[in-house]
Amino acid sequence: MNDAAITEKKKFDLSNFLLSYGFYVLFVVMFIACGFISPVFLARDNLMQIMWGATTLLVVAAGGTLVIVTGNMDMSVGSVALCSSAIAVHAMNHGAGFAQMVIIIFLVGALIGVINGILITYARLNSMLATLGMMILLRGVSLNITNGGAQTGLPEGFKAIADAKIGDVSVLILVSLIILLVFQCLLRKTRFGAYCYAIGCSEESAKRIGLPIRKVKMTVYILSGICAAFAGFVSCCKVGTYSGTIGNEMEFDVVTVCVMGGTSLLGGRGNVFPGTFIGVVLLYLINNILALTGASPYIYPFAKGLVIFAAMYVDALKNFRKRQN
Amino acid sequence: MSNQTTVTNHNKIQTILSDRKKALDLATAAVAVFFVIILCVAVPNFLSLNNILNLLELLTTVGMLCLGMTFILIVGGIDLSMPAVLMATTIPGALFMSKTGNVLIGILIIFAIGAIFGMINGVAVAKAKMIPFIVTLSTQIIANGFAVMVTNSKSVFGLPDAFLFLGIKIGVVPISIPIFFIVAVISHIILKKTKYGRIFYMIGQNEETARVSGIRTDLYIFAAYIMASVYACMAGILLAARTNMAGATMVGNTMLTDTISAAVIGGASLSGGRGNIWGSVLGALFITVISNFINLMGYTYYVGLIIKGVLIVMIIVLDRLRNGD
Repeated sequence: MNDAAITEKKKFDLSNFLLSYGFYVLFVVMFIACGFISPVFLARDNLMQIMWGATTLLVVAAGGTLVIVTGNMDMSVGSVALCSSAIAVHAMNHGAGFAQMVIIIFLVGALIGVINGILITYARLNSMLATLGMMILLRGVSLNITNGGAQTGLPEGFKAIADAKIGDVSVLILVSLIILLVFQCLLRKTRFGAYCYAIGCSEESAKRIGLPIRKVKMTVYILSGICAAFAGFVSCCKVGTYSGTIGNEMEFDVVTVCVMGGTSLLGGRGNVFPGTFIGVVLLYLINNILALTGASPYIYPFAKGLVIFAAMYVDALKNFRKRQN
Repeated sequence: MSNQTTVTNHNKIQTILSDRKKALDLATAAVAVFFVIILCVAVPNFLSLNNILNLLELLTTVGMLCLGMTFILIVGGIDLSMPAVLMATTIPGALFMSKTGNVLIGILIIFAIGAIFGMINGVAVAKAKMIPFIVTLSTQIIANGFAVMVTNSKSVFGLPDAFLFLGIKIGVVPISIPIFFIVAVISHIILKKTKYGRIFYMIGQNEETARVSGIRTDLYIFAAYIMASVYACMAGILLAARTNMAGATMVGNTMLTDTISAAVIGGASLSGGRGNIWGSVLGALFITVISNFINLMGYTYYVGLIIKGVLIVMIIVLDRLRNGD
């Protein structure tokens, strides 16, 4: 009888373990499976290729995680990425150099972050709707500035940054990883991070105990704006040209990877590393393995959707189990 | 005595609040009327019968989606997958019809696939208690992927004449306009004149209360998601019949935001429990008029995006003022 009780306890633990770490298990399983499916997959170059693709999304998702942890949403990130580089390109056409362009990109990102923050903290608009409006508005502005077209002939600096390597690893990959770790520290090791979680858990309680809600939310949106601008910068570096498709669908990708990595849309739960990081890598891993196996490109979005749905479902089961206990 | 004062004070506050609400409602109406007058003056052909019929015909697509969205918003959810479901259902159905010429089975296929997508959404939200935003986001990706996969991103042309009947004109009036208004009237009756409608509102206002008072909330939420998909199917059928084609570009990528903002303009709230059919129809009409205005004035797509973005932000500010605490 004692034995039975023990085994039952063990079984329960296993299923609980699977649910709590289901996403990581899924990731490891997929990783190993991919290794078997394609011999090239585990090659160093291929793994670097995956990371190279992921750099853009990694940085935006780091800022996005912060926003979602506070229980809000930033749907404008893709348009911020586009708008900041569009304005920089516009400045280039009027004689700005590389350094000025970089400054403009980050300033525009921060400025839009401020606008988003004001709309959400001071005008107290619904964060999803407000940033949705900003998303459409900014896309219109950027396409209007550049007449929608692509633009070549960016300064040499962009290309130089894309080509720069420390040892064997691209600088862009390293920088995005460092930014991820910085955001993780910000969330876990600082008072600001603790405030973010507190506001996400219950804004009402956070207000009652006197936390500086407005300041924290403003900071979060400004950081998210800067991250998105950085993504626009990285896109320009990687391709070497500006195009009107920068940041397309990025906002949905950000929400997806954050939630896959265990960040709750209700706020108050989640982390940047490893959660969001694994989420981003998984997204690019799917595309990579489909490309390696030579699948029809029309299957990509479908397969991506299925994996995302599975990941979300595991997450929901976990929450469901928690609520029952 | 002091009690009485409190009561009077309370009444006073109530009057002031309702006055403010009335004033804001009036202001909204005034802005709308003002806008229409400007349109009539600025746009030469705006009030011609042709343009009005054209407007109403365009209204059927976004309006039909908006009706479904209204049900979802009332129960406190959101459905991001509606435009994607529209394509994912209409394309296979149209493909079947153009191959075999069998209209009845083609339409059945459309509704069957729609019901499957609705069921996926419904089960995940109502039973697995997943967050609607996330669920419908992943079904959106799946549905989009499916739509592209079925035809390898090619459009389907040459639909049978019996199907195109839904796109013809009787005299000068396109048949889709009366169909849309009949559906709207039925939806209105369901919402306002039956107990099911009341229950939808009740669930949106407080799901827990509804559940405790013995309502099978999961069934109603499930039903709302199925309904949304069915509306998406109807919108798809009318659109395909009107344009005689079905393809992955049949709805523009602003359709989703158009639908949500139309419902919000019409008085629905993202936090559930509010919204009505005629408001949504008017909201959809407003959005259509804006798009039409942009077309008639010969603005580019980019300027259109800017105008729409500004409007959305303005409308939610107004909504905030009207329903602010």
